Amino acid sequence: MKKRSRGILVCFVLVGLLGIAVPAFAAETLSLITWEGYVTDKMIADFEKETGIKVEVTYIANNDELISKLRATGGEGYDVAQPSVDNTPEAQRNFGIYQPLDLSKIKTMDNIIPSLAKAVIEMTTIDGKVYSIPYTWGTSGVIVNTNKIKKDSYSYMDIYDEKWCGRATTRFRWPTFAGAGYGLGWDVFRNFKSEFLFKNMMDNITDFLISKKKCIKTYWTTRQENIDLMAKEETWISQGWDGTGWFLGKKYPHIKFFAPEEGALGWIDTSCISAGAENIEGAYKWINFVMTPERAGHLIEQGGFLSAVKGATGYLPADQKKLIEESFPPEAIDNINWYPAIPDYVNTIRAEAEEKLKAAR
Amino acid sequence: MGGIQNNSKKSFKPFPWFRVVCLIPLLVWIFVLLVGPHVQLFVISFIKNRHPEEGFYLGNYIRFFSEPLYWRIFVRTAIYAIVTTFFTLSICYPAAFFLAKMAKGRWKLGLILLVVLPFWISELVRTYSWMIMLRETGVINWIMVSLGVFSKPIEMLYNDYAIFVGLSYASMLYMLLPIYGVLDGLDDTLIEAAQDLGASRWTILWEVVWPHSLPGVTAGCIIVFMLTLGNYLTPTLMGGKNSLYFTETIYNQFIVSWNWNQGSAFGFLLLLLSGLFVWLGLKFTGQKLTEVVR
Amino acid sequence: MATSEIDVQVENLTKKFGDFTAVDKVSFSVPRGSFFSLLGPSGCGKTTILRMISGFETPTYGDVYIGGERVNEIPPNRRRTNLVFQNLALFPLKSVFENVAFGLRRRNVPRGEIRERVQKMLERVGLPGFENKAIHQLSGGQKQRVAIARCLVLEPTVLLLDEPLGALDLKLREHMKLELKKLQHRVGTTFIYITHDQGEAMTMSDQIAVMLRGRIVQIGAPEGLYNSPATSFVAAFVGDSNRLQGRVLSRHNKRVNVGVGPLEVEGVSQPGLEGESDALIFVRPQNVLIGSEADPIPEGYQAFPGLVREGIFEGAVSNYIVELAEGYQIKVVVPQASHVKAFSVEDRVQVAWSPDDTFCFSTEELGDITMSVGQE
Repeated sequence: MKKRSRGILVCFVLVGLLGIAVPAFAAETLSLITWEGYVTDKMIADFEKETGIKVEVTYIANNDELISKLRATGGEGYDVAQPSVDNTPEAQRNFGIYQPLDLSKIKTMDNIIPSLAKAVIEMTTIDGKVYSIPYTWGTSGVIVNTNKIKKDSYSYMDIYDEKWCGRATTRFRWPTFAGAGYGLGWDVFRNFKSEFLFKNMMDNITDFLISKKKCIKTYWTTRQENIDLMAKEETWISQGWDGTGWFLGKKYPHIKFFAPEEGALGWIDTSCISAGAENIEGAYKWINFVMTPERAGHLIEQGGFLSAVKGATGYLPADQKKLIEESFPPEAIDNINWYPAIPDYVNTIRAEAEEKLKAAR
Repeated sequence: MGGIQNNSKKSFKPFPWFRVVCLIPLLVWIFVLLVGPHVQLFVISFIKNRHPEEGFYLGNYIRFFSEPLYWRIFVRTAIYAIVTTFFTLSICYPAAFFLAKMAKGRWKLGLILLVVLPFWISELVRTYSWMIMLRETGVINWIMVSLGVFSKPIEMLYNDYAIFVGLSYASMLYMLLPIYGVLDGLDDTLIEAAQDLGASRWTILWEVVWPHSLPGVTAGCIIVFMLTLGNYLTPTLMGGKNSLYFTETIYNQFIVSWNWNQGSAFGFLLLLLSGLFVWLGLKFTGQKLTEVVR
Repeated sequence: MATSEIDVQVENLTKKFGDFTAVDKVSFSVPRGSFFSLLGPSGCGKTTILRMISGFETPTYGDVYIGGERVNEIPPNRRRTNLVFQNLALFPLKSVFENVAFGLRRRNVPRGEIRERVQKMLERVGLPGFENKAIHQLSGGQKQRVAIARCLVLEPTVLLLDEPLGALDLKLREHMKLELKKLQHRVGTTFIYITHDQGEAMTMSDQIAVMLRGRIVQIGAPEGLYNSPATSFVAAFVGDSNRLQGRVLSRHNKRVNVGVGPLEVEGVSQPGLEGESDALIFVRPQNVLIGSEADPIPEGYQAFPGLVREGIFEGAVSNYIVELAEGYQIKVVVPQASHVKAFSVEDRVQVAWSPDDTFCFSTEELGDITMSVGQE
């Protein structure tokens, strides 16, 4: 974040010093801020061929980074942003970093799975204006080395089982707290409704996680770290994303992603237009462009993320389709706990809990 | 830092504005890129998060002292930095001595290159390569198990020792070069004179070499201490589950809690407290900053 | 001064650095309490000899004896020698007291005794009360004396000095020469002194070893070297000399007649000069007389008419440059006294010197050595 604002300042200074008025680029450009794997080279090339617009992409590692970057520039410098939906209302209310969407300009709206579209639009409607539509979705659950841990079904609590103490890994971030909370029997997302309930629950979960800290080999921070730990069999069970599990499963068939008994944690990533967007028309063009079934299928195949577009799985190779179906039988999909929009006190409480867990010995 | 040499015979007399022109990039750098953002952060550190209307607010600073979690993390971070500094010193001092006083000609150049080369690679890559070396299924374990030294792999990553190794490695160059500089400037005849007067090797080291190298040692220690205290990447990646570092707390405040005000306050506390440590260190060893900077 | 006891003796001392022989079969001995100088141009191996005596270099072969004991294998910190370095090598961060006390502390001398001995030594070198000064507060001459005090306080068998006056300015150097000699006299320690300055060596030494290309050319007392140089190098290097080059014309016993341009000079043939070869002739300026054309010539002297080209009045002495023939000049030094006649430039004069004071050498030895003769 700090780097970013410095970088911008550097640009200003250089421009000022040299006294060069930067002319608008001859070629129209569109700037995206999104996750790795959400845009492929082929998509960028096809989009340029179709519209003549050049696409520039900035990647983020987590939602907070995206929000901080937009916040630092007042939303300038980016046209399309792709945050997770649960952060969007709170960030918008506090920092005003997005602009309302004109749904009539989104011609591919009908391609989106209706339940997802409805959920996202409901969550991100502020003062009667809609701020985002869904792009992809996915879950957190458990990734298991079935050679080492063989069970009929898995629970979040299996991560903390002392039978394989030291062979488990999770993040020390919010999804770990949520998963453990469900494992302990809390209805985690319902407790969002009051600060007192939420704080009380988080204290309990934190105490539990601290008591089990000795059994965690390490907290993974990047997707790659999670992959390394599981692939090298340094850990046998991990809380992680479904995409990570499927990625591992392609190479190591005994490593599988499971939706836990308590229900996987479901997230939806969205498309928003930044408040400071310069190329608004281009932004709508891009949103329309990516929301077609074959491009969504291409995205799942390349990036391993499930698309919000209807029928996208129809464009998948059979083995990949099988992995996904194995992880999500119909009842497991119904069982997903979707991250709700977060109230403003949640960030502070969960940041404190995370620090307490990491600092504990 | 000799300043302007008035007594030099050939004094360089450029056009009058030359000095100003020379300084412009530095001044721009300092004011626009360093002072500017810091002033901004300093101001917001005295504002309550999401309640700027309340005006001047000390709570962000008070929280550091009232919440034991934060100052405990800070103390732990400072201890890590101190231990790392000493660890780095104990590795670099003999190496610098070898480079300055024993290595000759092409050997010397080659060795210095070997020390400097890794620093042409990004810190991230260097940290990852350490992780590949140290991890349970890593290179060192593979070698040790193959040789039969270990009966089974030992986890060498994700603990304090790994942090020390990573941090020391990351700051090695900054310790080595100042010490190498002062030792290179140490007249060999001083060592011979001491020997001639009956001193043993250890006495020479303690009585002649060490006092002479103190400014370099202090400079190296200050740089390494500050770098280590402000490092984010290495402890986060290599430290594993117990490694909460103060910089990570600042990151969390800015990024996770969306609380720039608290983050700024922590940032300034880090600056202040690390300055305090350096000051205490200088006091303790009787060094002066002007001498060290020279 | 010289006693029968020998403090330092080297035998066949040789040091090779790769193919280069820095010191070549050098032998000499230094009697107790004497001031011994190694004199030679830079690169002649004198410093290497000093470093072998002090223990910083190991001889390739040959032996070093100190106080009768062979010390080849003993490291510098356990030899009873101390070295005053060319750059003095005082410890810049230590006070004068700590510098002088350094060696005593290494020997675990009790604190009270250290204080006493350092104080006494500083008095001896003329620096009483300087204990707490920092090194950078001292003048060049004072540093010099601290460096010597630092060694002498250890009461070494031999004090080795490596051109310690080299860094001082001319005036201070003149002063320190006498100081050093007096000091040596007072303390009675054996000094081995290295220099390329023949003036220093002549002033201070009891014995001088003149070195060239790793070898000792001649050892002797200063007067001996001055009055009877063994080789052309010694003649040229030690003291001031007129040097003339010519060719042997005739020879009768020890006497040779040498043709120098249009002149014919008679002199004493030195070993090495054979047959009708090229010769170098050395005549000391002090041994040349100058007078007007009509003045009588002393018995046995050879006289040449000439023209005064330069006259330099130096207070106690006057120097004249007299041209004997085109391209052949001779320098004459005469003591200044009221009864001595003075000459001016362009005066017609007569110069004369004895053939006994004329040394004729073979030209071989000096060969490729360039040096300015008659300047120091």
